[in-house]
Amino acid sequence: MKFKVSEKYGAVIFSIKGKLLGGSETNDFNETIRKYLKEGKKNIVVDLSGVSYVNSTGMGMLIRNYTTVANEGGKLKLAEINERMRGLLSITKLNQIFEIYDSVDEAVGSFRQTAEA
Amino acid sequence: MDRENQTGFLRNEIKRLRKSLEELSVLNEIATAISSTLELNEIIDLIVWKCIKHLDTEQAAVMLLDEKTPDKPLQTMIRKADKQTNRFIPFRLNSQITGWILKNKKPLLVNDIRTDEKFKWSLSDSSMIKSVLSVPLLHKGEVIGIISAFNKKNENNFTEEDKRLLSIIAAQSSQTIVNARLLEEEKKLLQLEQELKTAAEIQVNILPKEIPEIPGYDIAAINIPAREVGGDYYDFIQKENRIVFCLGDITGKGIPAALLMANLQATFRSQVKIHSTVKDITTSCNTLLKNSTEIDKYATFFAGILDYKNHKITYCNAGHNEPVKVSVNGETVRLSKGGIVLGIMNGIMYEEDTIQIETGDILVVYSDGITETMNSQGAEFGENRLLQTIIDYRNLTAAGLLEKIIKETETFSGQELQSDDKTLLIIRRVK
Repeated sequence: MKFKVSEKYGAVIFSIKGKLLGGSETNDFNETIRKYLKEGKKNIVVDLSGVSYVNSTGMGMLIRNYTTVANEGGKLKLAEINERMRGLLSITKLNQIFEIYDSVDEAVGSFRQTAEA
Repeated sequence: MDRENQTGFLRNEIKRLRKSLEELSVLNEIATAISSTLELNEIIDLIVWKCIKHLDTEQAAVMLLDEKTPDKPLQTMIRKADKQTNRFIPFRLNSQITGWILKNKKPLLVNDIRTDEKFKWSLSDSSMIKSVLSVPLLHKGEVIGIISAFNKKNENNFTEEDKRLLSIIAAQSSQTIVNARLLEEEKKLLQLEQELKTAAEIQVNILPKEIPEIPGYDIAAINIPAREVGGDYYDFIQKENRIVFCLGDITGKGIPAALLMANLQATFRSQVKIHSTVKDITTSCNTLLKNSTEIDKYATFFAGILDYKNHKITYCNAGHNEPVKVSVNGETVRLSKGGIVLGIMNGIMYEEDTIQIETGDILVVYSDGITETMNSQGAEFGENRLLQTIIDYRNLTAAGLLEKIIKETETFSGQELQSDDKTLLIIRRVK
């Protein structure tokens, strides 16, 4: 997996590309999230539009980061997940935990609504 | 040539031959000793002692490059000193010598290091070591280590002959050291393989040895790990007039998954004794697993209680692939009620549901290793093929259907290696 980071309206967007297989290749991702949390940036969107495959250890990596962000009082939301991932989230019922959005903009926007409300 | 010159020539010739003979006998001695031992440390030890003896030095050392971290040079080191002296090589001097040899890949002979241009010693550093002869241990052109001799005895200097002898010793030792390392590597691998075999045996014993025999029911189960050990778990526990059964799948594969699988088994078995409902069993398994696993490790888990007197199954599905119940007419029901996967979040209250089991109904519980069986084109066996197989062969016995499903996945994957653990549990009501 590879990832790029961008910021929009106070949310940090992590765009992941490739296969989400967990393991040591996610260390960099985990650390980058922690770095943003330290800066006080706690609205995280993970853009999964470029993810071709995800297995259970890849899901584990998302769960780990979801928890890390939540423990700091923030939220990690998912955007643009493919069919396979939607299926996996549905089977594991992790869709009860993760907020999932059809587009990155919607996910970013959801943080603004929460802030205004 | 006059007589005097001739005598002189012959004397020199005899001296040269004698020296060669000595060298040969030294090498022979080392070769014989080395071939009789295979332990790396013993071999190095022996080389060091022979160097001290035959080069007539106070100290000698062999340092080997760590194969796994070649950027951290010379981790292994065996150094011996002649009994009369017990001087240590200062660290800085040592690292400067190794640095020089790694860079130049050729012998280094320095008889007075205080005055040598190559090194900028401070006097305290060099106070104990006067002369050095170091030779790289080369294998296929790469430095794998260094043999060094320090301080020629009786204030003598190292000679070109010493250098030649040490170079020959080094050349001979390199191959032996490489062989010994390979042998050690092989021994370690063999031991690991043995441990894996033992782990596999332990795991086989963790899984139920016998499938319960219940009047009116036909039950079968199988677990085929992708590697020696796996992360899938199934079980049957008799409790009064009921059978508690489960099938779980731990994230990942191999040893890490197997360790968690054993944890899940122990947890589940203990909670079955304490709680009477399947949702309570699952709820407490979740809490216990959450407290004993890394945040990113989880298990998908399906547990059910078969009440074979009243033909009911109460189940709880914790994020596991939905088991399917197929009735005689081919109708299917998926079992999804429950909650999220086990082990990632505390305080989850799991739910349960009860289904009626009619005569001829089959319940198939499976792990994703079945549906995610891949062929060489990267396509998956998938839910639909599984469902169709179950529907088509719903009249077979539980064991017959189980065999059929496994065969279908194997036919589908062809030459492709099994990438995930496959587990199946089938319960069929016969009357």
